[in-house]
Amino acid sequence: MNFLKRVWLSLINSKAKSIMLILSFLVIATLILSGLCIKTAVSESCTKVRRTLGNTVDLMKDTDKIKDFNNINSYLIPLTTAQSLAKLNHVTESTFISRRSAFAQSFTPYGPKAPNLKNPDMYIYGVTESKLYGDYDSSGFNSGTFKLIEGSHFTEKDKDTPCALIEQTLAKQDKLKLGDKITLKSQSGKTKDFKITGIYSNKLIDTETNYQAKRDKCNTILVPFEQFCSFIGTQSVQEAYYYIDDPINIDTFRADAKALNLSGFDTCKLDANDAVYLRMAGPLNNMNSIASTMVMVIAIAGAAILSLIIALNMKNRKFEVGVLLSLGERKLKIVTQMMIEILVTVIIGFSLSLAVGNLAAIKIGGVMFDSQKISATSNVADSSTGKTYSTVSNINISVTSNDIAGLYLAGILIALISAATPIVSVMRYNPKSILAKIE
Amino acid sequence: MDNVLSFRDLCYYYENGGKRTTILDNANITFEKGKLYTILGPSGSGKTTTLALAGALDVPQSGEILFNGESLPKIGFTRYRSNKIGIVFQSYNLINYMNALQNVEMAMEITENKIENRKQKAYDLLGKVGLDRELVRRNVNKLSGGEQQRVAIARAISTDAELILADEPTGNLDSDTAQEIIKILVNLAHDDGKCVIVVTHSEDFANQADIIVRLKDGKLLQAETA
Repeated sequence: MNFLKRVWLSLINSKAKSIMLILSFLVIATLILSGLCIKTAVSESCTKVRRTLGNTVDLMKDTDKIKDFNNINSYLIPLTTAQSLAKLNHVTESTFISRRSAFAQSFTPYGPKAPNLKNPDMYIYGVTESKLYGDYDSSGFNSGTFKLIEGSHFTEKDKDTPCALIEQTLAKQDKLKLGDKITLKSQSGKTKDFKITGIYSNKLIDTETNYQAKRDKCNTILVPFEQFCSFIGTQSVQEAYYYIDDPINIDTFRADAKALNLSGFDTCKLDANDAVYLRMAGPLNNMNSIASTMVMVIAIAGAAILSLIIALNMKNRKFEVGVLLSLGERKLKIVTQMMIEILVTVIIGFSLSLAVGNLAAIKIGGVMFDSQKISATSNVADSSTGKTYSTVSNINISVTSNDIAGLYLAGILIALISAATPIVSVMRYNPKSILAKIE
Repeated sequence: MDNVLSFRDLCYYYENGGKRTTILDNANITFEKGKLYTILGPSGSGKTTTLALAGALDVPQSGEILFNGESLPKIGFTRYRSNKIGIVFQSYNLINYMNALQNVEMAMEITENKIENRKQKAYDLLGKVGLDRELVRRNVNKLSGGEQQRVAIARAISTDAELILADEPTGNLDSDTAQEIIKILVNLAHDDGKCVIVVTHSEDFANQADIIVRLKDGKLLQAETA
């Protein structure tokens, strides 16, 4: 006979105990597997939600941390900070935006203004790439709100070129055309010439009923961001937008940004449509928390219960241990035999759970999902863009290879923890005292 | 002389409720191959303790036990039990979920002594102690007391141990069966050249031994039988 045959004989000798252990492991494994499957399904659903919401992350000042709302500097982020974030992994593109008002010098702003009103009329937006203007709130070129009628967009390559895009209503009023120069004067008194390289239309102007709002829209000029900085005399941005290669990398980007500990970053926030995401994925995250708790509690409780069962079993085998020790068997080998017996029952119990775990996961997951009151008719609206998104109406729960790997890892850990105390006591056995008590 | 086991100035006592009971007090004795020894004495005299010390199931307070001139701690207690000795207990101490054959094979699997054809050897040993091939495949729980003790003896000698220790091997057996067991142990000593040490309170058993050892005042006194 060899050592493994002893393991086999021991297992089939106490069939009832072996079956009880297998069934115990089966129940524990089924519940753990269900928890793991639900977590996997939730994670996949959250990823889908992220992908639905897009891959843009906005850097802006956190209004909760602004102390002086009347000071424009409270809203500014150091340019170096924004530029450092643009160099992080997963960032494919970035856009910086700042806005100030300025005075028209060589032309007349659209629409009359009240006499004696000395406020600047023009709104100057410094943007890295003009075609990306308005992407953040779907109010620009890519959303169709703005349309380039003449000329071309400027890009990062034009950062040294004092060019400008003006609105067609302003262009018509002042008979401005491509190639013309316009002069602007900043609030600090600096003047600068810009060459018109593009004329765009804003479709919201025709339907704008508020006169001042219409005036503001017509008097909006886009210039390259670097030209804006030199004109206004600033090295800061008001907002930056980062395009991430895959929405699932958004959290990594956020963590990397925080780790850089950049100047001014502590009063900023990186928003990836988080409010909408939380409303769409919030119930899913609740499910994830419940599933995690379920796995932990079941694993700990399972280990505790199995410890007791195994300890009881071990106590009943004290005589056998005493005999083996009296025959000169090493304690380590006895412990190894018992560990193998436990692991065999774990593997059988956990393997059987694969057959029922999927069904249990679907059932438990379904109940949890319903309890979060997620309905296919619920939609979530994004107030900043006006878009609506459908909430998650169902999740696809199935056993994955990662779940199986996690299950067996949990099983081995539970087996080791359960067997630890009884095995320590075996190592302290004295054959004489065992056999003397029995005789 | 072929000395197998020696006690040198061996001291053993135990304390119970502050009272010390001395079992061995600088005891000295030598056991030889090819002889059957009985350690005789009334219950509680320390016979089983003496056997436990010989079997490295317990440790003396002082003195040393030598096996073929080597001290037990040097051999290693576990190695000593698996390779050098075989023990037969009063209540057989067989593994109850194995049959007779498996119990004997198990001892051969544990020992480091090189043993070929374990299964065949197990059959042969069990046959030697009077168990046929049909009986040896039965679970030990289904064997009589005498049959179980035969299995225990077969197990004890399966590792080619030079020294066999038996603690009241006939204590739970009827007289006829006891005689058969005694005969097996005698043959082990005389025919197979083993050193067999038996603890017993049976004078009848003692009379069939080569040497009777008595415990008196912590000493081991030996006397050859006629």
